[in-house]
Amino acid sequence: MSRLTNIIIVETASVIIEGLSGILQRSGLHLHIFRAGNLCDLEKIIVSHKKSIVIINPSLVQPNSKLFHALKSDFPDVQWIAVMYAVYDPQHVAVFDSAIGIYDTPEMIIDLIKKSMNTRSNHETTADEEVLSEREIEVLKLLATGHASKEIADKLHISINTVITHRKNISQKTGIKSVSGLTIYAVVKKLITLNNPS
Amino acid sequence: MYPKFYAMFSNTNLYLTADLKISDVVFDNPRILLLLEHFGIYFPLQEKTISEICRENKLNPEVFLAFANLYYGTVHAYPVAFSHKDTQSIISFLKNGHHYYLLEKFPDIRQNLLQLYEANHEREISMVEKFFNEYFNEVTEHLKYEDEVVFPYIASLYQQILMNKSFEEPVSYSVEEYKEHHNDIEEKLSDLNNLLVKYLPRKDDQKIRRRLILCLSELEYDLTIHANIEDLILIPLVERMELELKTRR
Repeated sequence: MSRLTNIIIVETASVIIEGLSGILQRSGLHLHIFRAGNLCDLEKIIVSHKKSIVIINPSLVQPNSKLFHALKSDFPDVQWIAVMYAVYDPQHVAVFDSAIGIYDTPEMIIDLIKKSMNTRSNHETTADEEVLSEREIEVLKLLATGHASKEIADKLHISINTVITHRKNISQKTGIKSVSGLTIYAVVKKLITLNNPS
Repeated sequence: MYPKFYAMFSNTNLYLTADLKISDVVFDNPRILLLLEHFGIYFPLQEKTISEICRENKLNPEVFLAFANLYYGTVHAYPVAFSHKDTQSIISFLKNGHHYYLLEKFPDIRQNLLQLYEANHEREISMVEKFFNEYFNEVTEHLKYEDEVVFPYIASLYQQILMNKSFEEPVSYSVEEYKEHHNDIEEKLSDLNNLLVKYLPRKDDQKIRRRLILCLSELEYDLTIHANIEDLILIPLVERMELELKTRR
């Protein structure tokens, strides 16, 4: 429900952590800032915050690059920003989506975060508009009248994966995830009528 | 998760330290009152500092500060590794939270829902009531599971460490199942909010609906922190205790 953006700072130097946190907190952006000292700590936070922006010191990546690449592929919605205060091999920097330099002004840093937030939300809601497509409405109707995903797939002659994708999109557009919540939504929108009052 | 509340009350980015006066913290962010209650700290707070209050209540100030900073939206994933000595105060905090949900907050919400139905006597609203009751039953079950299975298990780990015993495998406990519950709880609450704010048709229910939504947001705020404490502080602590006991063998 929250539209806050999660920022995870992965860094060991307190001055850098505090400096970045300070700049971000004063930015007026709606952020929730987490801190992690290494990739293992980062993993713990990331599993419950899959759509985060990670600001990370590249030197913390190199000793454990296997885990880093695993995290990168497991959590495709994460944006990775390097915070650079040493010179790194360009090949090592290329794995990040963007980079903050130690001499960047607060405005430059905030701009970069804003850009990352936009990239994120764009592919988060590609089919935005919040209006359900005809197919989604069909799926929703069946869902709200007690059909399981498998039954819906059979009825509409589509694969179960397609049903799951429709369900995801329905939840993203309406903000409602549970079947019982979606049922109420369908009644409100007069997509279904319940004959048997319970 | 929701520093938006904090931002509402506070212009400073206060990072709490033990030398702060507890009353000043309350003025800055009144939601801290719930934290105090969960720790068993009550009015009047006098001129006491955090460290004085902690000493009086036999609390590790590190635990207090870590929890309090969560109410301010600051999560420290690494610096404070709590020791098994803190298990009792952490568990008692969480248990008090459960009492608050079950005996105070949920009855409040239910009361508000009843009034909403009185004002807006529609089929959809009665469905929302039913939705809430189902949600309430699920949460109650989860809290009961924590009270009856998870917390006793952790308490037994603590005893085993104190008495220098070796590790006994738990009978009916699984961290995975535990985490799954949390997702469900947050999801349904969010559904309820979406329905109330965006979709349910309005009648003469503006005021009562507003009260209900504010009430839900208070619950959500505290529940989120509650789940954070369990996921980020309690579970790692339990894992460390298990490891310590296992390596003893």
